[in-house]
Amino acid sequence: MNIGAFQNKHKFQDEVWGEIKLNSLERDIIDTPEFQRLFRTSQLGFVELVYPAANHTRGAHSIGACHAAKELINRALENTRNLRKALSNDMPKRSLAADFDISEAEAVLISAGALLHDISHVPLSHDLERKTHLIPGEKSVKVRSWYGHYDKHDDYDTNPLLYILIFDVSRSVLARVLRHYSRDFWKQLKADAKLHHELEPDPNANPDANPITDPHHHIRDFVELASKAVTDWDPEADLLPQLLFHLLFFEKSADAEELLDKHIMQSFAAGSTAMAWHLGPRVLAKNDIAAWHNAWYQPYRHDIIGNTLSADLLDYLRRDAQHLGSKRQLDLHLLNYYVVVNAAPNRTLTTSRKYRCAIDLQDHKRGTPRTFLLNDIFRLLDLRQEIHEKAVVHRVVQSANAMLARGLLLLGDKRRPPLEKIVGMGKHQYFPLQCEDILFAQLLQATAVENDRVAYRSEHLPEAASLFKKLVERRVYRPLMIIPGDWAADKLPLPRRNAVGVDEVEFSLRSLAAIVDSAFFSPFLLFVCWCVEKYLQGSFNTDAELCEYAQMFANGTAPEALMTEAKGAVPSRVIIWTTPFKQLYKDPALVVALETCVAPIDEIAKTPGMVHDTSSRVRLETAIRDADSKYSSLWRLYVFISDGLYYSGVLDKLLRKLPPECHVANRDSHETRIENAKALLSIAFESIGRTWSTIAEKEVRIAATLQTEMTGANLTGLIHRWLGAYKDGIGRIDNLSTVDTSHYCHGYAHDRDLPEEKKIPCRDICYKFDNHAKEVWKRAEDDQLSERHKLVRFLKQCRLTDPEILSEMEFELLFHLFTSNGNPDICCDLAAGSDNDPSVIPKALEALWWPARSIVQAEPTPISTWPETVPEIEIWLDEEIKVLRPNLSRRIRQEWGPLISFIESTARVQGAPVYLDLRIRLRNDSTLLWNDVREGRVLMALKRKWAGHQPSTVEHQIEED
Amino acid sequence: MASTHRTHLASISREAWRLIDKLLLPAANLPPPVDLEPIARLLGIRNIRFKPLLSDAGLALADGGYDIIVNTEAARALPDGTVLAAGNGAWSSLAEGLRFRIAHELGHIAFLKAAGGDRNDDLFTTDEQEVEKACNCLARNLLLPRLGLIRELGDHLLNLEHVQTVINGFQVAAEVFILRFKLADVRSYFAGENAILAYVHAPDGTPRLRTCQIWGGIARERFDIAYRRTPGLESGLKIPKKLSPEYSEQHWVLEGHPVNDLKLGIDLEALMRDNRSGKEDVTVEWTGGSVLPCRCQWCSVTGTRRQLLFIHVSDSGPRKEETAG
Repeated sequence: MNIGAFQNKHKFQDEVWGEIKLNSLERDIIDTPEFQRLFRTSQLGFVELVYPAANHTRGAHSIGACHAAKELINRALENTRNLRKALSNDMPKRSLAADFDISEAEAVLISAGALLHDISHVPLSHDLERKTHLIPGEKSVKVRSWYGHYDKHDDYDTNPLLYILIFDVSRSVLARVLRHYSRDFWKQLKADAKLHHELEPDPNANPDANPITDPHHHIRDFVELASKAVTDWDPEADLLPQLLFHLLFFEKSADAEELLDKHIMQSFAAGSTAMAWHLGPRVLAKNDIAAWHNAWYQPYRHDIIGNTLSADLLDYLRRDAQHLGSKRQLDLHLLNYYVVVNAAPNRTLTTSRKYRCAIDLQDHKRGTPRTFLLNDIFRLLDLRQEIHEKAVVHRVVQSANAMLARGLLLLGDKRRPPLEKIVGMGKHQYFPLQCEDILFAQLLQATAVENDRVAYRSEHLPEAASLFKKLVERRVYRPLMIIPGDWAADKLPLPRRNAVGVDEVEFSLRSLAAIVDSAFFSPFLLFVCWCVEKYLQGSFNTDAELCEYAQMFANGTAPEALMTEAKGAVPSRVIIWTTPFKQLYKDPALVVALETCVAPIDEIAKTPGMVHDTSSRVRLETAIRDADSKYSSLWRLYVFISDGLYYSGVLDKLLRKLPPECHVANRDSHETRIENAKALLSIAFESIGRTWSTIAEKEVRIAATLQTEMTGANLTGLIHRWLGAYKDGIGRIDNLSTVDTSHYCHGYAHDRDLPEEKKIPCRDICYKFDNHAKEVWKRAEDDQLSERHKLVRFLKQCRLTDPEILSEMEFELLFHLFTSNGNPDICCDLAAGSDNDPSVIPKALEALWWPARSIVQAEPTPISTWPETVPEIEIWLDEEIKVLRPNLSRRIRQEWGPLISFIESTARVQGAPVYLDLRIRLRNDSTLLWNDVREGRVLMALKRKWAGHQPSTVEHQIEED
Repeated sequence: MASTHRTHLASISREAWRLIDKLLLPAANLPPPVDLEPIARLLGIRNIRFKPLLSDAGLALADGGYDIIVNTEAARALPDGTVLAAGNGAWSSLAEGLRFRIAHELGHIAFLKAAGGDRNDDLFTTDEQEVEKACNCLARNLLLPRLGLIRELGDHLLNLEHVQTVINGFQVAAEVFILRFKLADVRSYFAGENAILAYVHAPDGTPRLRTCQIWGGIARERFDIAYRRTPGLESGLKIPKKLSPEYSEQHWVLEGHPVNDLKLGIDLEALMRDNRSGKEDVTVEWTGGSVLPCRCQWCSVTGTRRQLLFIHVSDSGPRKEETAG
């Protein structure tokens, strides 16, 4: 029987569930400022940009989840009792049903857990968080995404928010509430643990309904343990917060059964480190920690909250579907078969039994499977897939995510607000107000350092500010490429492995998601984006020019200023983006009971011998196959570009408006640029897929490798491979993307010389309805002291005298480029010679977009430093050969000593060309599918080149098995 | 695990062999040499490119097919940047060494196709060396196809001059020719002979045996098995791995030894050093006090320090040694 505080007597009206009743603990939790913040945190983040009604909050969802948890507990209690009764005479199957009832105290704990399951969420749903990729295999590997700069809300080993909210009574009202109710909770738990016969008999109880005499024996050990008097432990104050934290954190983990204690962050204070935390008194011997954990831990409690068919899932499926305008609704008929079962019915020792919540697919009365439930289960998964497809992976939503992540990357570690501030726990912050709007205000504030010119120029702050402003104004980037998972798996060279139970396509796509999102490939992909951005903005006349330039970078022969620029480049207008691959029947797993097995549904379907009934197995397999195919096309790899890059460009426009004597010959058209950009990107994906396939074969520490940035020869080798493949036209994959780019590509909206049919307007509303620059030009012309006047003078010097060729925003863009790069002098100097040589004008205009290139064009190529001593050569070569396939690098290592001494002696005489030649050979070799190389041949190749050495016989070289 | 790989390798090797045979069939009746270009086209090769590499050669993806990339420092390679497209007759002028190199790469493609086009097949990473060897076998079959070889050799296998003509006609190196007989399909055809054909190489001035083919039980007993019993030579004996039914023994026990180790009763080293070609009738020791009359013949092949050595066992076989008087 419930004690007063836990009686559901407070009525709430919910849009999904109707009238729901909560207890006093729950009502007080909702009233805390900490919970109130959730009413200002959106449930679906940027989905609101596409579905305006999808603006429901985490707060409403949490209350719904709390109600759903109560519903699930009631159903589980009733169904499990019925199951027990059905199996009471069936000795072999008897151990399947839980031999206890969920106690009142547990129900209180679980529903409070459901209410608080999102309490540590950051604004913007999951969009701010760093994702984790899972690469399955014999030993699955978790890889942290490189993009996304805030720890996940449930990564408590690095994110202390939940700990503070639940335990820190000085900062959190919620902590005080939980501490207060701990006394009643302890009382309830003790009452539940009493032997059944000690309790007053319930006159209304049905004697057949519950055949067990001791329904709460499973909590008795824990109650006895908790009752022991210890100095730093008071169950009347500590028990409820501790069990809630344990439930939300420890019990969520897949390895919760073995998890005894864990290091968690307990404070945001700088320099604080993770401390060990465990259930029970603070000071405990290791055996006692295990005893406390084992006495309490059971997986079924967290099952009701999340990670399977759970309160979280039930609520968000209904609520999200409703807000997305979907007419399809979840059928709760499935809950009639929701039971608490022994997860391993063959475990005979009662103490080691673990119980889970599952859907019972077996009709025990008739001995047949309830196949109709399969329909319900997969309909539920379908609904989940539909929500993901319609909303979560919608291009606009993902574009906004990509822009936010890129903006945060551009802000840099120094400027990025720390997590503490993001969640509103910083100094002078008002916690309950923390919401998306405040977040954007914070982010924009972080970029507002216009008075610090050095920082403004060097730290990409204008680009970051532009991204955040565009997000606020819903001026999202457009997709240049969208590659659905099934296309990628079909067309890209990806690692394939048939690990037990892992679908090959799923393995490939999980790997692809991880590598695209990895720190390892980030320098390469950022470089590719940087090249594409420069090309699309018109800074390169042709793709050949782009290749030549990138080649110089890879060879290390580019001018130093450009090398530095390209190395640290974070392009803001071309973004490669993806999300972790998800298989929604696995993430979370849907646990079912069929015959005598209790396991996730896919395991049951895929493990031979688990299901004996052929028709059920066939139906399961077919449904899983269907789900697999849906999810592989649901996952996508995106490349987004700003609307400005779909526009044929201001630079292009200015160059075309120049008098004929200044025209640049052979400039790629914008349509060609878009097509070439897609080819460059698809080849980049092809190259990383191929490179990773090679590395993954020999690399055992996959996660560590992917989480370290690629440098040196690895990077330059990959760039060579990429450019080589592009130039040779190989690796170009047709029809990889689903985007019809002609749909987005547009010309000059404000160009009076352009025929009407070619004036496809920009879709960005601000550009589309822009003013002519006539007035702003006139004002600048008149105000001779202004900076804008200098710009007009420069444009006139470039023989561009008509103000109507520009729109107001274009004029402002030119002004921004003219000043923010700090280069009016460079541009004006270049334009100064235009009287004698009109061909310098295009260069002067190009310098607006890329001053560094114009400055260094005249500089001599710096002399690179090459290794001289044997140890230096060894380090250099060791780095260089990382690009190679294993067989060739193995062969080189076999000849290591003689090779190094040959390089050293030859380079002493011949100098740098020896290293350059060696580097070219290595790069060429790295582009091959495989290399044929025999013993002694590497050294011989070099000797023939550098020492004029001729082999003794031809045959000897040809045939040597 | 290893045996699974081996079986996998053997089955793919067999499949690749079948593919090459199929591609050879249309030109089976044409005179030598084998035209590699149409075969290469059918296998998806677009060009041969010459680039500076560290390895000898390799394959690159190209325009929906493949390019063969050859190291500019490889023997007889053409200058950096040279591109020889397949299908316009440009390959006809390739030196024999390069022909083998190209045929070897074609072998790789055949292997790849046999493996279902999966470049990531375990085969290509865990069994690299075995695949290389199998590709050499395929290359030998490509350059010296069974039907053509048997037709051209006729019953003149034991005629050294004719063998020289055949080798030149097929545009292969002598060593390739000898190793071709290690493959069961042609070896069995000449099973009735009793002879050895060896390739001799004198990198340090001493003519040394490199590769050899032995036909017939008596020749085998005398020039192969007998040496396996000889103390001091056993350490050099290598047990070859069996890759496929087409491929058998790989190393000859006398490989690397000076020619005098054949114990022919004459100073063959001096003879071969002094005369590029020659002929000697010899009587070599045989078991149980018997002797084996043989004809020893050698001639030079292209280059200065390489020769072919032929030892033909007399049709009469071993006989009791005649004592003087």
